[in-house]
Amino acid sequence: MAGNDYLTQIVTRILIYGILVLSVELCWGQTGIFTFGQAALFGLGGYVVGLITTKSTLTDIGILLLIAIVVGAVTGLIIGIFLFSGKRVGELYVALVTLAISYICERLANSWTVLGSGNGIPGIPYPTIFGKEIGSATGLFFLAFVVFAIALILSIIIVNSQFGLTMNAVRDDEERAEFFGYQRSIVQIAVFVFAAALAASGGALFAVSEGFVSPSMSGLALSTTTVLWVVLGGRGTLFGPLIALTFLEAVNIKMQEALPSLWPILVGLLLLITMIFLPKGLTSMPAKIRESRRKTASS
Amino acid sequence: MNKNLFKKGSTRRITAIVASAVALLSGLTFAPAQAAPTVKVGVLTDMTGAFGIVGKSNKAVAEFTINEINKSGGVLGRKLEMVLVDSATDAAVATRVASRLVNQDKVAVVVGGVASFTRVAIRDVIAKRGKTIYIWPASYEGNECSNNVWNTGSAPNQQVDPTVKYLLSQGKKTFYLAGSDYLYPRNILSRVRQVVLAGGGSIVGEEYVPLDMTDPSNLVSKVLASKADALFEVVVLPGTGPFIKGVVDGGFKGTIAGTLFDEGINPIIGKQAEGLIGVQDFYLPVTDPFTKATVARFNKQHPEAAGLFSATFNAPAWYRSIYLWKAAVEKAKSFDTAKVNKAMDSVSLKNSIGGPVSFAPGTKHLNLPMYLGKSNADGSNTIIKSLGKIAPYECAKKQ
Repeated sequence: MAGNDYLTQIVTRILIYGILVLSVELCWGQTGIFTFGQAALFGLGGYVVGLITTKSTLTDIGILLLIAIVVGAVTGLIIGIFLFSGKRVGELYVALVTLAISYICERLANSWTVLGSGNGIPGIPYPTIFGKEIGSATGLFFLAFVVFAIALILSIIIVNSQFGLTMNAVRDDEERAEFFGYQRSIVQIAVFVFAAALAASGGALFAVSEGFVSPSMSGLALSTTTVLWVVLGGRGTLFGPLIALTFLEAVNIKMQEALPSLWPILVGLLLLITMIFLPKGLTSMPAKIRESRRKTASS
Repeated sequence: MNKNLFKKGSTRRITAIVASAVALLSGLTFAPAQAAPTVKVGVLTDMTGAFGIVGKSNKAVAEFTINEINKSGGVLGRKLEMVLVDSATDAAVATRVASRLVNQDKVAVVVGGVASFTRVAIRDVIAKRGKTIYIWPASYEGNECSNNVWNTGSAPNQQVDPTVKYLLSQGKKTFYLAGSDYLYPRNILSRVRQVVLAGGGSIVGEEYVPLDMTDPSNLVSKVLASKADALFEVVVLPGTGPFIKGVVDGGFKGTIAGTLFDEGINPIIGKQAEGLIGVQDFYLPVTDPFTKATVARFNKQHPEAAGLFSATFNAPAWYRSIYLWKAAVEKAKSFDTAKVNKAMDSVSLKNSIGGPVSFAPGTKHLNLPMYLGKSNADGSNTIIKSLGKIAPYECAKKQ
């Protein structure tokens, strides 16, 4: 892979978006928090790193990630308390509020000169680790791979733990979960904070590996795209959305060149068809086919 | 659900899907190798998205210029090959395709970008991390002085100074400044302010509106109430048309000037474009024989982009960008980035759209022939005065 920086960079970007997808999947797929705001937290992490690295000499990736995670978690906590601490609110309400947050962040990034306005923050230097610069596409790939792997393992552990079952209980029926004595709001806030930290760390990685941050990385388009990955891949599975992301990004790159104006429409159609015929996502298709075969065989 | 994840069947399934995704990805890179000794020229522009119309013009001009160079023998005996990528009016897409040009296609030079946010996003990918020459062919807000980056559009002082000086000479004393709220209008208008104050005029109002503003009534009434002698406006699309229509139809008595009026934009404004003042590096009525013949040839060869050869679509800048790079390569006798970069600093073109151009050494910008123009009701322009070559105040020569 070292031979082709372009391919390495694409895979690195997919790994980074993978962290973002995990954060959406934990919220929506596992806990029923229908979030359209993960890109805002992704952008937050990116801008924090962008500001620090361009205004100071700090480039150590460990410290940068830590700062991004803390900022992301605190922001997640504030939003989480606001959304979930009181009475139960509907899925749609959460979606609208997080959507609005994403919109506000994009507008803010677009117009605030401290954040570079529409131009974003360019010229973010390569990160360092123990004083050594990670200055190659391969180095950045390994960095993204390590962080992604940690995020994935943590997510698997959480989802398969007792707490994970509680998350699913809250997703499936908030009211019943409360009746059983679970602290619904605590579960939701905890998941939201963890997911926010994940998203912010992804944003931090995006900033150092791309060398720039721009308003669009905190915006509506990316927020919706991540939800699209989860829908296509199958809500409630950790790997489905990751596969959908890899697939769509790979196809995307080819199709943007081949059919630039038709491609977005095709993606929209794919989404519609999936939601109607395969509500559990594309990864449920083989199971569905087997099931229908079994039915024809037994009849 | 995740009990499912570890079942045998689903693992197989996942492996299969991951494997096919990897196959798809690697398919991206194993394109057949080119044996011919062509030199690749990266052309990066917004073929889709908000600036798609500009991209259409840029692509046609790049194609036209590269064909012309190839017909006359190429560069150092090698033919040029255009590699076109679509930056889709999106900074994240732009960095990806810029990386493709530099790391996969191994282009010798990248020309491109429409908006400044694209320039700052791809600049490091191409010039710093990619160590490749990057030419930015657009009139813009200034201050681009990065290594390996060369600016072939006009700098703020080249457009603003003569416009404001003309207005002052016409007895305009009070100025209202209006722009969209981002870097380009803010930098342009800060230059306007500087020149107005230095020339003894005064600023009676300054207002910025959101980038996507389409209802300008609030701004229009402020401008009308100011009773300014002149309005300098940098409200960009989609707000330009409604804003100018509002001001003109509202009975504004002063003169309206800006940096974005020419044959490309005026039709969008409509008949209210009559009387708009501006300075560009090119207007269609520029009459030197070389410009006339070249534009005529372009329109003949590229009917799909007819009417899109205009200064605000950066057409003249794209044309000279590729020729300036050619001149630098020939001077350096090499395609090597460091050598070409060194040669660039002082190359010039005797023949170019609008007149001869030359890099002003140390500034990374061009000495450009500029024209003071006035728009007509039908969208065409009349040249009030040919201003001759104007030096850029940029980088080492900032003032």
